[in-house]
Amino acid sequence: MPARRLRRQLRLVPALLVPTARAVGWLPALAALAVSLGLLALAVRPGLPLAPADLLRWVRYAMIVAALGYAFLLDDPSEPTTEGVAGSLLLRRTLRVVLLLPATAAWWVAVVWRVGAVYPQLPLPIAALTLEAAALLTVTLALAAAGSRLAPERRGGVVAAPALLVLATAAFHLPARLILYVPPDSAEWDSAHQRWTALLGLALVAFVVASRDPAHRRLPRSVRTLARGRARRHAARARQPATHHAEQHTTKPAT
Amino acid sequence: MTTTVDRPPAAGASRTLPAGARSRRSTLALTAVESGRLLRHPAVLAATAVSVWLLWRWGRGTAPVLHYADIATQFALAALAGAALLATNLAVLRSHRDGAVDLYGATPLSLARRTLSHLLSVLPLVALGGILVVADLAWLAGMPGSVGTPHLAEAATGPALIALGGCVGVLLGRLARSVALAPLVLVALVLGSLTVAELQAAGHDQRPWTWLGTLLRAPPFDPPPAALLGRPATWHLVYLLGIGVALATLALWRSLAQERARRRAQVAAAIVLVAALAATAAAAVVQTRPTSSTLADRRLAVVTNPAAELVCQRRGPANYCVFAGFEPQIDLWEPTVRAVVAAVPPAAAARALPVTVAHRVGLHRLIDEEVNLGVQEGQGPSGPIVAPVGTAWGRDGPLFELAHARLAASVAARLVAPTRGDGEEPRWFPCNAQAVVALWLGGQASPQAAEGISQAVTDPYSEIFVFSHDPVLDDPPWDVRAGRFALALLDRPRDQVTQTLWRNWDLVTAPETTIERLGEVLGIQPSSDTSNLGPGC
Repeated sequence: MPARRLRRQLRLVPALLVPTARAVGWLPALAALAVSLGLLALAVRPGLPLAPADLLRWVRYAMIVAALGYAFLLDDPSEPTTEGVAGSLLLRRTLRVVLLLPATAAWWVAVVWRVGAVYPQLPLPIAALTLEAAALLTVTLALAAAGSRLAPERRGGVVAAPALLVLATAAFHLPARLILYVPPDSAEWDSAHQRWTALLGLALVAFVVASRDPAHRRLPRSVRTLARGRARRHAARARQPATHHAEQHTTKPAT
Repeated sequence: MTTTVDRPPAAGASRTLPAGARSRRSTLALTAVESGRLLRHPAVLAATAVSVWLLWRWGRGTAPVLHYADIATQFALAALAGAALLATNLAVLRSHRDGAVDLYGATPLSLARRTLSHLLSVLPLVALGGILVVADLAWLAGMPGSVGTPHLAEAATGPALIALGGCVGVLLGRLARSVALAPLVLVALVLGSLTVAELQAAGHDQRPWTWLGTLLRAPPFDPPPAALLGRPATWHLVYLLGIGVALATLALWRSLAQERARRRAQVAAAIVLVAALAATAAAAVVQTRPTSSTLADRRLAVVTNPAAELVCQRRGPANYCVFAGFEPQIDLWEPTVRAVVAAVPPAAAARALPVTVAHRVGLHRLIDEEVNLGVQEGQGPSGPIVAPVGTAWGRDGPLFELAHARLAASVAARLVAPTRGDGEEPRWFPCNAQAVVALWLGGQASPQAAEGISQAVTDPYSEIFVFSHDPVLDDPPWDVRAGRFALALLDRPRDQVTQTLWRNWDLVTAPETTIERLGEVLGIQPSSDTSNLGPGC
């Protein structure tokens, strides 16, 4: 029952919040957000007029720097140990992301505010840029989730950060038909943002797929038949008269 | 995973060898293993692919000027330098990630030796960068129309950047155990370098301090002769290598201090560090000196009298004047010039020939970005008026299409409105029929020229435009309306238009003939959009 399982998972959230907050390495993520803001503040400042295209490019650089911090958000060397706990991997990872969301929102508000304060007359396409930022951060999370299967000790950031840099470099060199980082007055603006939306969706799916709980993986066939046989025997014994039943409970059932 | 050296020196040998030689051997063995891992690291593989692709994309279809192409290799190799930073950092921190630090205490290699191995392991990657640069330049040198000679220091700057990236990665690994630090430092370095490069591109010689950045692109105009460039490439290479050695020594020194090594080794490291810093500082001072007055005078002389630096030769219908050493480019222009001449009635062509095609580059932008000295001071061209052409040339791409269009349309303009009498300037009206005819002739030269004309007309930056980002007085101006009419003519069957134009040649090329009159002759009405006539009309 997916609904019941979901409810069961959500009931774990309050209990998991504080331990997760303690387990996350906040320094890389927060440092990246801070460095991102610092770079943006250096580049976008009153005495240095920028063309709208350059301004947008700096906002995008700031997004990439912030995303670098996200690359290390899912690093969790204890994952192999915590596989057996009730909260699924997806739930634990989502919690990490949710915990960083307030800081991310504050960072994004600061970015938009800084650009708006220095260039008050320039209409910044905030919705479209927010979509770009969300897509980039989700792609990074998907990379980190996928990377944790490759990297030692489930430290996916080791894979995700270089991969993000390579992908971002490639994204700036895409041919015109597939352009993602589109200049503000381009005819491709709308189609580029459709591509960003598609990327966001794909990244979300990839994140979920890469975060499938290893505890739910299919057991080898021999183990499954063994377990099913034991369960059947246990059920058969459970149907026996009550006297037997009480006797049964003196030894601990193996289910 | 931890790195172990598979084949330790044979037991017998180790007993006979002195301790120093043994640990030297072990260091080299670890270096070999680490460099193999570095070369196979996914980030390095991806960056190599990016570098190769960038080199290929920038070189493909161009008529390369090698003393500009060597500067372009630095930007392509910057990707590899970034990968070197990340990969060496991950390699240095691998033992921390794997919890193998304590186990290393049992191996014969000290921390400083391991650091040295990591530093040396970058060298094969540097060699890979060198091979890429040499292969790229050899490929470009073999292309038709290739001119110039690469500068050794410019070509070596890309590999030096890789070495620098590797040193930064190792040092960061020895300073902090977080793998998150290196990507952040890398991004800060990349953005800083890009910003400094941008600052230079806007002011060139006005901001010599920008040479303190890592890589600086070539001036954004058609390549001038190498002697006029004046980039302090050699000193910049010394500067980068000095920083690299200083960072490497710092990493070694840190390792020595951590393991409380002998004082002598620490003192030696400190001496090397000081020497490297001194070399860096000296190179920094020398490379940021303003342009020498001799070079500045020479540039100014070229800007005010462009013909002086050119060597001329007559080929067929045209006289070609090029910078010394740029002669192979003439072969590239010849088909275009011949095609334009062939589209003009022979009698009219005989009156106008020979046309002079001459190199003109935006060298004035090295002297002052804002002021076009060639145009601003009313410096008339000292010789006869020419058909200008830049030094950047290639098969396809918007920039090269514009270059094709510039040559074809200028040659056509000189044929349509020839110089009458000695030293007299031709009578040129950009909004009249003669401009339409000249643009149509230019469009006949090649598909690239036609594409360049259509590009400039459909996306003009003002009502009167020229086919160059660095216009000189020789560049004939064009009106957008004439351009639109010429595009309409280019869509028509060629023979039909040619016949009508040839029959009425004197009328359609007369300076006073309007576009409307030309429309009547051809039986095509130009667009009636006369409201926004340019200021020259």
